[in-house]
This record gives sequence, C-alpha cells and structure tokens, in this order.
Amino acid sequence: MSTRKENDFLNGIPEMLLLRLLGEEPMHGYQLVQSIKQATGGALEFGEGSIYPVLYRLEAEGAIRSCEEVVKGRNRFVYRLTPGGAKRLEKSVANWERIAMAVAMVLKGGRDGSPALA
Amino acid sequence: MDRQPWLKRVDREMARQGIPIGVRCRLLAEWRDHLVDLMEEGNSMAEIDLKMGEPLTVAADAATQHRLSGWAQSHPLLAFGIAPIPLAVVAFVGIVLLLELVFGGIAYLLYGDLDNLPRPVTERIVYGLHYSVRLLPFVLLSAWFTRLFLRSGVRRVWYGVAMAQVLLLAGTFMSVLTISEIPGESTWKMGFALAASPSASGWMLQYLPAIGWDQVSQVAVTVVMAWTIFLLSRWRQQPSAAFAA
Repeated sequence: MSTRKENDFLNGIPEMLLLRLLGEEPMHGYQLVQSIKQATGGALEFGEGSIYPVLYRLEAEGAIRSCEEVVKGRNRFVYRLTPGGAKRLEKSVANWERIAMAVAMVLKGGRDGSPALA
Repeated sequence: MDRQPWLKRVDREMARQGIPIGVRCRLLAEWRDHLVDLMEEGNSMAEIDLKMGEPLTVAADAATQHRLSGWAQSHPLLAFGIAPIPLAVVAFVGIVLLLELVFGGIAYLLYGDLDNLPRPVTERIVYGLHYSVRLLPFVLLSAWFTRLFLRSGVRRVWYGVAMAQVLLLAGTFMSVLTISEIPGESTWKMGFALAASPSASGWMLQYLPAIGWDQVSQVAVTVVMAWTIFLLSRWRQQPSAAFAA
C-alpha cells in the first residue's frame, strides 16, 4: 500500500538527481545544472534558478554540505554529498526503481496477464 | 513588459513570501553567479530569463524548499503541540537560575557578602525576581513560537495551539510576594491557578478565583511580544533590504 511519503517521493526527482551527481564529485550549482542536462540528454526541462532552493534545503537537512572555493578565479559554493546524503540517495534510488517498475508493469500489462493500458 | 532585472523580481517575491533575509542573500549570491555563467556563455538577456525560470515560480520554489527544510515544518505536532509546556518549564527554571546568578553577582560585587546584604537590597532583588519570573518566561515563549511560526510556515492552527498553551500558562501563573517587617515572616508563593488542591470536599481549583490583574498583565505582555515579532518580521522583509545586502 502506498503511503503519503511515498507519493511525495514522486516530487523528489530533482533531489535524487542532485544527490546522484554530487555522489560522483563535488560541484557548484552551474556545474550541476550542466551535468543534469548532459546526463539526461536535455530531456528534463526545468528553470535553472529552481536548483538552488533545492540545494539549500538538502544542505539544511544535512544531505549535502557546501564550502566556498575559488573556481576559475571566482568564489563559488561547492557542494559535496555527506554520508547521510549517501544513505538518503540509496533509499531514493530504491524507491524510484520500485515505483518505475510498478508503473512499467501497469503500462506493459499486469502480472496476471491483464492487457496493458491503451 | 517588466524591465526589472530578474534577481530583483525574485527577491521582491521571496520577501513577500516571508523568506528570511539570510536565506535570500545566500540564494541571491548563487543566482548572481549563475547569471554571470550564463552571460559568459554568450546567452542573450531573453535567453537567460528563459533558462532561469519565471521569477514568481522560482521564488515560490524557494519559499517551498525553505519551509520544507525546517524541523518544525516536518514535526509540527512536536514543535507546536507538545513542546510549549516542557519549554515553559525549561524557560522558567533557566530564568530563575540566570537571574539569581546575575542579581547575586551584582550584589556580591557591590557588597562582598551575600549573607548580610542590607535589607533594601535584598527586597529589590526579590522584587526583581518576582516580576521577572512573572513576565520573562511567557515573553520568551511568545517570541520563540511566533518566530518559529514565521520561519517554518506551518499552518496557523499549529501556531494557535502553541500560543493557546502559552497564554493559558501566562493567564494562570501566580507569584505572590509578601514582604514583612518581622524577620522570617516574609513569604513568596508561586504556582498555577489551575492546579487542583485537596480540600474537605475533595480536589478543588481553589486558586482560580485569585486570578486578577497580575495575570491579565502577564497575558497582555505575552500578546504584545507576539505582535511585535509579527511587525518586526514585516519590516525586515522589505525587499530592498535583502537586495542591497
């Protein structure tokens, strides 16, 4: 049975992508936006300005941490994944895979062989 | 067409949505860097506006994320429903200990011996403690919960639940000080008028009729503090302040 929290997870895609990318290497905001575009082939359209409030929340929740560093001659906030963030990412990915599988089952036809949705 | 720069429009909307100035400054710094990166890539102003997103939407996202980031937002029952009474106890004990230290320290510095203070000094200290414990805990609690409400953006009903408890405490707390000229006869009683006490005919709320102007003033000061915090938060959320910072 689905819980409210699990339903909320559907809104957490940007968060999962950010954690996943920061798990690979520390990045500043602009790098993250470019990485998301590159990784998704531009399939995800979003206002680039909306990334920063998500980063702010993830930092407040302890999933990532930032420090000011000089990057190409400019001071930038560079973000890193924390151990807590890594655990959260694992859970998010597991939840996402479960949901994606469930949706795929419905679209392709259920376990009982019922027809797929038109 | 609105010619106001993107940053200023977002900041104005964030201020309107009640995001604290510290958070706004941090986000503005990030967005400013992002805009510079986009300009360095050779994007036109129209393209930059398009890529950054609609200011109203971005500001709304910032407000949502800010509210989600708080502990109070995710645990309103604990933060606003359960915390007020334990916090009141902590505030009360903390204030009494702190004031004893402060008053005792000052008296020690002035007179050197706390056991033989002149009577007028002792009376002033006791009166100071008496008025402080009557007012300060409730003022602090009022300020705390009003700020928490404004910062977390929880539903008003949670703020109402917390403030109802604080006002109930303020409206029933009694501190009765009787100074006597006869040594050893002075008394200082404290308690809550809602506390039931045993009597010949069972448990009774025998202190309830003693509620009077003292309690009215405690409630009034608590309400005034909450109102002041609301007014200050409105004043501090003027958009120009954050943008200039």
